[in-house]
Amino acid sequence: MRLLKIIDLHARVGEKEVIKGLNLEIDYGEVHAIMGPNGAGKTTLANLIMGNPNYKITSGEILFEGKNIINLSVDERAKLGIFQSFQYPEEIPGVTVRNFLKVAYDALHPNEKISVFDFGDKLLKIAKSLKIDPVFLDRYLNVGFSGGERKKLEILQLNVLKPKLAILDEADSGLDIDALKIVSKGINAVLNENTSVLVITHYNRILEYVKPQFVHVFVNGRIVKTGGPMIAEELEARGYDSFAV
Amino acid sequence: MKKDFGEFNIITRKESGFDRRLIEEISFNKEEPSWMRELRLRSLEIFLRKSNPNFGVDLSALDMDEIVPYLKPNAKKSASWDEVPDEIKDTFEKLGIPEAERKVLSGVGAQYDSEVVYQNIKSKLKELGVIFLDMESAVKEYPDLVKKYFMRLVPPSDHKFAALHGAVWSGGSFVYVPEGVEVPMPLQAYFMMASPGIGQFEHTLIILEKGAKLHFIEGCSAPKYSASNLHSGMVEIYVGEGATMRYSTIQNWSKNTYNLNTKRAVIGKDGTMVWVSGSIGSSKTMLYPASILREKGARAEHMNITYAGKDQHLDTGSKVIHLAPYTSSKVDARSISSDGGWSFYRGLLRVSPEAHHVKSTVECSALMMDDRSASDTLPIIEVMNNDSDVGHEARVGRIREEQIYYLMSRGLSEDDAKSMIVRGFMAPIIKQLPLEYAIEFNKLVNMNFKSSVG
Amino acid sequence: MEMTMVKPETRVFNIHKDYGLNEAKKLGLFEWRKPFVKRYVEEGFPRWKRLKLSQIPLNDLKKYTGKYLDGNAKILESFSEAIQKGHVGKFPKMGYDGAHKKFTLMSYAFFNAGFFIESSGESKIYAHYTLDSNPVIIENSLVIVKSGSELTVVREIDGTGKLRVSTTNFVVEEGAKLNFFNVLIAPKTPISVDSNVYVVGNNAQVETYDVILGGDKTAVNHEIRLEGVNAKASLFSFYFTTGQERADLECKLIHKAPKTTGYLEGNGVVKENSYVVFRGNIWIPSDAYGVESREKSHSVNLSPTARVDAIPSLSVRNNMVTAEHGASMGSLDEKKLYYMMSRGMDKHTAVRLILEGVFEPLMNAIPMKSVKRSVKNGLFSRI
Repeated sequence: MRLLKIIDLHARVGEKEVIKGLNLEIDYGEVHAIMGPNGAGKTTLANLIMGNPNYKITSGEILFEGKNIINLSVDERAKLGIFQSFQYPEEIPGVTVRNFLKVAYDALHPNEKISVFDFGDKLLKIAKSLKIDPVFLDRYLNVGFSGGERKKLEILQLNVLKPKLAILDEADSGLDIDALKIVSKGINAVLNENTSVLVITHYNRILEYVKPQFVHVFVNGRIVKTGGPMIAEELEARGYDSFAV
Repeated sequence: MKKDFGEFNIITRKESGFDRRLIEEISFNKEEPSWMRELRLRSLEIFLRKSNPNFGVDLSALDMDEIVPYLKPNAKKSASWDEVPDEIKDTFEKLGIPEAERKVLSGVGAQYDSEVVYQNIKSKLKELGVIFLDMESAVKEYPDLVKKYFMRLVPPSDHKFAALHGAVWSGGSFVYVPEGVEVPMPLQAYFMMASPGIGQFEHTLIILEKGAKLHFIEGCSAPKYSASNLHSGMVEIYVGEGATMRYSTIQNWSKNTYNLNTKRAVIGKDGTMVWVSGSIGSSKTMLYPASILREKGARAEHMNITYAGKDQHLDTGSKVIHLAPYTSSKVDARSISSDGGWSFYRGLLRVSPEAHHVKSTVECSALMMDDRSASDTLPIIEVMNNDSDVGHEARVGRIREEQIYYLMSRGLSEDDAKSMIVRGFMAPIIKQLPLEYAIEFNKLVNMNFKSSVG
Repeated sequence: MEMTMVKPETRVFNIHKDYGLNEAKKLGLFEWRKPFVKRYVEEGFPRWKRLKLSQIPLNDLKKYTGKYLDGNAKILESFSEAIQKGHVGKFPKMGYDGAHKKFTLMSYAFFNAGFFIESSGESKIYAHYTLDSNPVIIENSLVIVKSGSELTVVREIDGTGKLRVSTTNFVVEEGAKLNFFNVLIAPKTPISVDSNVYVVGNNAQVETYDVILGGDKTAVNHEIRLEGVNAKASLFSFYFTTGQERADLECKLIHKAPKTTGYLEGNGVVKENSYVVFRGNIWIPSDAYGVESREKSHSVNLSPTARVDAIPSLSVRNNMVTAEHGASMGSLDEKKLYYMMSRGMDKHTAVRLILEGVFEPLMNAIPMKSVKRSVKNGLFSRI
């Protein structure tokens, strides 16, 4: 049984078909990268796996740990262990990072009943290991955050919530080298034999830090080629058009 | 039996009993000095003459006759526990209100034994020279002080419900803080719930002398139920030179009530007044805490949170009047309307000609949860000189799907997500309330969303 | 549960020698005027507190003398002609009260000027009234911007007179565009009441510039009803009052249909002992989803005895909308003055430049040189 298996998926946004027969398999403990030109629908894929109601699946299946999840709500999928990191995460005024993470953690671990203090300690430890300033934890969620700060927060969430499948959507856009290193370190910290990462990106810069076993080329709503890390270099050299079918 | 709007003004019918005799009975029963009785009678006259306010909530269904019985001194004020609506009992349960308090809050039973708590602070206050006692006793024990200030800031002629209040006021607190004294703990109104009947006509009078400091807390988030459905209380605050006053209120009157309160503060030289109000209950509310910045350097800050749910029309706001130079004010008013509720912000900001170099900002944010609810903002900004800096901003919006999606992607259910966003919206103001109140207010909001998140 | 609220009612007063049937007869087209006269005499004049209006001296009424209409349009004629030719049928159906129904009814009953425009293709109309030769102007105008066409109307009123009352009905049909410049440069005219209602259809657009430079007591009312989906409206109000002048400017955006867009902006300057109140109302009813509506106002107060009030209001009944407003008032920005003076300008010049800056967007928008000049002169004489 794979962690994630997508079978002949077709989906549309509004009236337009954006996913046209997509197949993908991700096993436990693997790092996959999906690369494609902008506007190809890569973010759509991330949203479809997470269950964004604005995207309509017209046919096909998404199996997570063997179970078809296309009728589950977003929070139900999160509870199963799916995590989507956003390019432009929402601002939630008045809700501190700390408070938000506690609530999310509790939702994912309803039986654990960790105390506020213990959680605070846990959070502080993770923040420090990721080189994230603890002062960050008392700011309002994403309010007034720079691009880099928002990315760091997504990575912090990733490390606190420890999902089974982390979908990182263009995680390396808008970051300087230092921030990129922190983000990559954060991603690598969650990787283990039970956790998989799906990095969706346009450029291969991040792939120098988060090494994928599988690279998929995504063009015109489908995955047109799958291979090893070499594919990324091929793309860099030849561009996406060479893969267009 | 509904009364006609017009008849409301002409209560001279003998059967209604709302007359001089009733007022005299009330005064006699309280053993008041003659000057207070005179004030009540004068107020009654004004009340009978004046017409209802020409703005705000619809008061046509308010029936004075139903209220009269509760005014009679020896009438049965307490309801029986059985009469208390289930919805109220449920809320007590969910908020974990202790047994004894439940009875008091629903007007059942007589005295609440807050005596114990009160005794402890009483001696400390005595040491500091602070006077804190129930209003009725204050009238008798400190007549000169009370006479000087009582209903001077809001005279009976101010508006119809001020006049009503003047005639039938009962209970409330009197606080006097002498020069330079900082009262170390917040004083709470409910220490003074001596008379049964939940204080629907409470009068609170607070006087801060030069350099004094006080935090006073009124109300509680637990729902208050009373069979009598009109609340016409009054708060008058005098902030002396350099003094700092903070007045926090949470109002959660049961859904059958009309909450028509008058709150006003006058601030002296370099004094500071902070109003923090959370309104979540009552069927109709008209509440506009007012700050009169009378002398140079005075400062006022108003923070309001209003939650209007099903069948509620909450008309709240603020009045800030700058009468002197170098005064400043800040208003942060937030409202939430949901499930057909109507939240109306009404504000007045006035800068008089002599109030030079005033700085004032007003920000109103309204969150509408659905398309059945209503939100209005009507600020009146009057600036009568040319060297003041005045700004006002308002916005009305909703919770966006993207925000809900984001929180749900982190495992929160839709209700929990909405609840969290609403609490976040209110957070900057709720933060200003004492901790227990903040927690309780958040719980109340959660309950509105059937959310389990704390 | 339908919830009601209480609103204050305006008190009214009556005057000794009000207009009536005789005046209507003298003006002609009596049958058309009669029903309005009947309703007019039943109403009283509003006792406006902010304008301190407690009396209206009514002078002899006679037809407007002189040509005041110019331009090209499918139909361009005086309102009287329009009635005679049958271009104006049963009118109006809009249920519009304007600044106050007494004045609106006065326009319909006793108009002595006014125009009827029906546009097609691209049309430009210039209406120029002068109070010097016509001290009492009561205008009744109707404008129909036909589907797909674009109409620019520049209306200018200048001179010194006794009374100017005007009510204009605009119908902007599907896909049409209206550009309206309403310029009032009439210092010392005791009373001026200008009411305008716009009905805007699907995908139609309105852009109005309203300019007040003078008038002892001036009341302006613009009510824009966005009745078609995707209708858009922008209203820019500019004013500069001085002396003892008082002006009450009211703009209403009524978003009757979904996905409509509205923008209100008020900019002005007050000086000496003058007074302005700027009222912007945005109303979004419960079936108007997808609406975007914004309001902004800023005023500069040059004198300690001048006064500006703002009453921006928002009434929203649908939550799938964006609705905001902001109002600010203050004196001249000291920092700006300092900066300019540090570059060698004297204070007077610096002040002039800053104030001109307030009206810059207006000057850029006015399409006619002569009107631009009049506005510029009007401004300069006040600065």
